[in-house]
Amino acid sequence: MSGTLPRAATLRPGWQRLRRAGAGTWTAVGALPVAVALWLFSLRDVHLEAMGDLGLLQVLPVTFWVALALLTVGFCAAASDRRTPNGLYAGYVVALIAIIHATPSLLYPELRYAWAWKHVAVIDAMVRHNGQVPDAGGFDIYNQWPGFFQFNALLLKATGLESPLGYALWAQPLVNLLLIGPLLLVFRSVTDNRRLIWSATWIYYACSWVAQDYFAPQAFAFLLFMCVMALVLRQLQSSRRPGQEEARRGWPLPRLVMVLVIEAAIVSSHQLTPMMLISALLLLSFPRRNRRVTLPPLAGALALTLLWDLTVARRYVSDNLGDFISSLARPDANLWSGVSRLADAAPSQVMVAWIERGLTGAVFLLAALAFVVRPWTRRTPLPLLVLAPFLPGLANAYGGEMVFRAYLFALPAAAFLIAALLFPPGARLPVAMPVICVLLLAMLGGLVFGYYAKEDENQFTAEEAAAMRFVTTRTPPDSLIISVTASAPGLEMRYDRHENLQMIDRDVETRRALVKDPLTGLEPLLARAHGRPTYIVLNDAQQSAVYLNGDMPADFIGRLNSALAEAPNFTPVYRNKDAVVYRYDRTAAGEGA
Amino acid sequence: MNGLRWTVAASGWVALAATALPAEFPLRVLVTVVFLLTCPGLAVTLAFARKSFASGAGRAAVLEVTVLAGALSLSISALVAEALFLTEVFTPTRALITLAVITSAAALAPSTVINS
Repeated sequence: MSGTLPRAATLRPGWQRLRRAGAGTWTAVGALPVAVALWLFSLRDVHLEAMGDLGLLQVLPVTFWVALALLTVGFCAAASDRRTPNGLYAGYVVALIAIIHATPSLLYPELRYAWAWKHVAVIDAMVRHNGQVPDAGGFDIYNQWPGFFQFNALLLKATGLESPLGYALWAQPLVNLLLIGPLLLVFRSVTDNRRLIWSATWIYYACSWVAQDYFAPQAFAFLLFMCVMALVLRQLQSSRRPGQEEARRGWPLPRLVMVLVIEAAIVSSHQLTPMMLISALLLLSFPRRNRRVTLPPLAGALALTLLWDLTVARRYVSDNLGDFISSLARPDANLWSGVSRLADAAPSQVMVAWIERGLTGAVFLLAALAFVVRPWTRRTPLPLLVLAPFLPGLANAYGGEMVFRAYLFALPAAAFLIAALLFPPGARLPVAMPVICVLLLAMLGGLVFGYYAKEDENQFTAEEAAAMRFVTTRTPPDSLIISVTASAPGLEMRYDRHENLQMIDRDVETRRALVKDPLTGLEPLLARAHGRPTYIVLNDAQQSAVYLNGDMPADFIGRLNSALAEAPNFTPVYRNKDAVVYRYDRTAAGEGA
Repeated sequence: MNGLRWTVAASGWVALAATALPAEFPLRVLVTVVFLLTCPGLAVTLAFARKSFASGAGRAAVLEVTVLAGALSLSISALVAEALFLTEVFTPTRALITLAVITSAAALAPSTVINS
């Protein structure tokens, strides 16, 4: 027996730590499976049809919320014990991602978000045309930043899958799981403290309400952006380590080439992310000591972006150069353009918008507080990364979404600062753990309002999808398809063969005329068909979108539907419980064939 | 390490062979997805790991290699697809052959040559 090792020595370090763990860790070990079991149990009986103007918040049962609260309490218990191993923290973060992001994937019969369907349509068109899509109209922008779409086209062709719909449904949990790696690397580049690293990761997921993680080029590019940031920060860390003379000289060439390859994929996949990348590397270059590491990837990002914009994306860039230059003159309007359109929204959505703003403001306030009261964080690159996304934010409105995009890109660094404030390394916690726990619960409370409260327009039924399949596949090529909003699953499929037109995108006068008299108001839209077959499609999600966003009066779709049903020149050619498709008959309208 | 390198080097050709299976066949889906999402980046990362990651050690280095392998796989696969689509010569076979060549070359290249 004397020759055998003690049992503990044969265990892996994490398990050794677990054996010596205190009450906090053991409480967390017990709470995790209970929370996950409660969550899975809660999904057995969810009635999506009861969803109203607060989306999933209204239909998820109490057990779901108990599971989420228990998970948060369990995480706090884990964080209260310094010996909690990485594996347990990882289990909590994965469970949080599963509860927040896999719940819609498990509950919904169809892909969530109209925009995700739009991206499926682009991939479908690129597969059919073997690359660039002719007659793409407003979709031509995707021809010019095709990285994400053509990667998916390759995936479809290689696997033989007919459509990305099957895996697109799981994009949100998958993207968030993949983000764990780069987030951990970023945080590990500034501290070795386990509790701080995992608390920052938890806070990132608890505050990421902007929903840019769905099946989209921005999610793909954001994931790659975080990988570049992780590699740059790790290289900065290596370059400062004593005795690493080679690292002090900057990048090993092969490693720099790898970073440039990832940058090339970002530049060719999305318009905004390269700007965010350039801005982040530019701000990281302000301290002289960083420049040996940050300038080569910055020069690479600039050169690749310029090259792409002057070649493949030249058409889009030259068409929009005037708008881009004029928007430089109004930085405040750019940043806040998406925050001011609440006047006509449903009361519930006004409340949700204020909760989102409150969470966003609280994140930046807590990050600023950390900067003040935790002086060591000022010596890290993270405060610069919080500020970096606001430079492109001042230059362009990005369709009214800029402030939210800037928030997303600033969030990883802001989450770390908040964690540094709440869970400082090597010291007793500045406030009692119950207070921190309430704060983390409040963050999740804000997140679920931002993430789940618009679901009445984001989730679709199989019937709605069937109606869109009918109108995009069973109507003659070159048809004009008119809808009130774009909240319809698959409305843009075969966009190269149909023209789509949304009423809410028309000018104010046209919309006023539509509201006053739907049939008379439709005439200028029908005239755009120039004799082509014309269809009008209405579905439940459009009704919800109109009400929630206040783009048109809440009763508009009901009035339009009644008017179309009674008009002699409109024939319902498809109808189910959630959608209807009308064909416009020119002969009956007296226009001639 | 050698076993892993040979496995990665062969992965692209196995994925190419898997495309001979019927469309949507589970084995075909599994092999091609795993290859496209992990192997090109893993091959390149393995080739450069000895020198590039010598400064890191332990778990952080393993995490870094994993993140880099995944990000590079996505990037290389996307860039190869784009290059073939933009030059209008895309076929899945050509794309997989290009990726298989890159993967094999990176996985089997002597590290002394690459790292010099």
